[in-house]
Amino acid sequence: MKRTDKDLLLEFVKTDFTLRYNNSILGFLWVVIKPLLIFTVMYIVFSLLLGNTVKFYALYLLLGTIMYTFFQEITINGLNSLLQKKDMMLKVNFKRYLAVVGSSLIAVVNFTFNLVVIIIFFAFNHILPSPLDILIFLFGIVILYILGLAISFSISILHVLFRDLQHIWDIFMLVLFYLTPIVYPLSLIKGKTLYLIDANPLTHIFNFTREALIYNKIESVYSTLIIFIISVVFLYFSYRFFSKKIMKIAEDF
Amino acid sequence: MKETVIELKNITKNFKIPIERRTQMKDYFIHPFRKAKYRSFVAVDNVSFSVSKGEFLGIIGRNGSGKSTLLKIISNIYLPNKGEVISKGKLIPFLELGVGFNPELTAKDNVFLNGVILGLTRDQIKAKYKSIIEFSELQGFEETQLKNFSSGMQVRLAFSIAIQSEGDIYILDEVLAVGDLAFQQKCFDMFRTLKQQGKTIIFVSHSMGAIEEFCDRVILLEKGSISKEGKAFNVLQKYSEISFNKSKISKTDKIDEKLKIKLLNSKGEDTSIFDSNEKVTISLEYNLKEIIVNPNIEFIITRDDGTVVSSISTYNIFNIDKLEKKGHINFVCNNLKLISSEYFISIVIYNKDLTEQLVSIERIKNFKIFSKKTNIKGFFEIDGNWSF
Repeated sequence: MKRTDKDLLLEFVKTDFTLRYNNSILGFLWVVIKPLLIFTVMYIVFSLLLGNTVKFYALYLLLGTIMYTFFQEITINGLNSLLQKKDMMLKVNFKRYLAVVGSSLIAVVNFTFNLVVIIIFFAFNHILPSPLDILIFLFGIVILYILGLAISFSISILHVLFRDLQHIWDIFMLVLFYLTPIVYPLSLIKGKTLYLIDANPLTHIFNFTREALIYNKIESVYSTLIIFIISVVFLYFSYRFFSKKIMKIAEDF
Repeated sequence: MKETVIELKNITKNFKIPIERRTQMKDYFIHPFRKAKYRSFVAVDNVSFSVSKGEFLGIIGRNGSGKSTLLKIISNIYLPNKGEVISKGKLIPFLELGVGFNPELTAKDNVFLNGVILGLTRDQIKAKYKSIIEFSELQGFEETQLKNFSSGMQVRLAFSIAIQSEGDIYILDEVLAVGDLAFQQKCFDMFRTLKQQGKTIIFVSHSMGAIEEFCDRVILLEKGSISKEGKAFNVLQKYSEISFNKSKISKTDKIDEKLKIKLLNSKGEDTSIFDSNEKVTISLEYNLKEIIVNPNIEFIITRDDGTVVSSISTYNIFNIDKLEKKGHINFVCNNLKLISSEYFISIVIYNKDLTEQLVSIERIKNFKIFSKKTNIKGFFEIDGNWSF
């Protein structure tokens, strides 16, 4: 990657942070506070509902929430990445894919800060994951990133053409949240609903990473590997779709 | 022949314009499958030209003639429907008054953001930062959010960044439109420097003076296609013709479209540039539907800002019995002692007592006066001699 491209990505990320936390008192702390608050609400509601069925439920829920927030942020930032920069797009011809990649990097930065919270929670529960568990976790995060980026390339283009996608995507992300075992354990689900949850790639990635990191167990290895390969292929085609369409949609901004 | 750096081959660009707009959700429910109707609008129509290295090319035309669309195609922002653009070297666009600022960011952040978008590295921007701010004369406003800047200040900053971006080709759209006089002067100096450095510049402006001063070649766009191309002066003349010949014609019932004014110099040649000492013949050719009895003819000379400089009338001086359906009337001026500038002639034909305007055409003809005496204020030269 060229030096100028790197600098451009850096500026995109910096700009986004400046804009997001301008005129706010807690500023940058919101990166950590927001998922923690979501976690707290979820924890109060669902620990009442589910009782003591899940071991280390707080950790289970926290890890799921933060990972899901990561994935959600990549796609939502990606969705808006082109429209947000339309003023620049109509004036200068820079490498367009950097806008999408830059938006995903913002999610990566946020996620990195949330990792600190995860580490603190693990320390509280006296759990020390093995190096292999940590590697598995990181691999899961990489898959989530690739999948999120692949989706972003496609939906960023589609969003320019169909503005309805904003609302559709919000609802879709809410549905996906409940189709992923985040607040509930997979063992609780029976019958036809299980097929639906099983068809969700996030289920496998979450199961794979969470089981390793919290319970030191290896699960969903094959399905996760398949999802990894599919994600890489999807990223390739999604990027091709993006590069083919990007020049044609300039007048639709 | 110098190296060609930009080449446009048969560029055509269409836009879809909706005929009926669906504004309400209701419309979608009533006719969910009816396709929205569009008509095609040709913004740029089969345009070809090339620009060689070091050339200063001007593009002029009325609003909506396709200038900005063409620049966006050259800058690789719009894809043409037909044709292709080949460009060599780093291209720095400055389109529609700016380089894409974010109003919420401070001036400093915007400099960095736009610098990297224009292809500089952060280190390069750091090195140039001071001169960018200095050129834009915005010292002390560096930490101000851009939304609090005036439009002139924003353009100044945008232009300063663009100019410091070390491109080979600059595409400058309306740089001079909102800057103040001092900044315009600075831009002119910058143009000269860029020209000396052998940079290629495509320049769009409504400032005819700047076009004439800097451009080696000018292209006039009319309804999306090139209507004239060549030396600045010739193209500008054509431009003022198309701009003003469609001027207001009232009382058209008495005239044919072919009312024409020619200006002849001392040698009898039809031209539009005169020396202030030169004899000028204003010749009106008319082609009327009916004979006008006892008319009065008046030529009004105005500057481009509309100020009336003088007028020439037949009233009480030259009695015309009647104007036949076809003919011409001449007025010979011994000299037009006006200061160097561009002027326009309007014509009014009145009835006998000046109580009714029969024909009135504003700005039917334009002309230029060049005077050897420079530094004259006001409207006209005063003849005379100095002595001790």
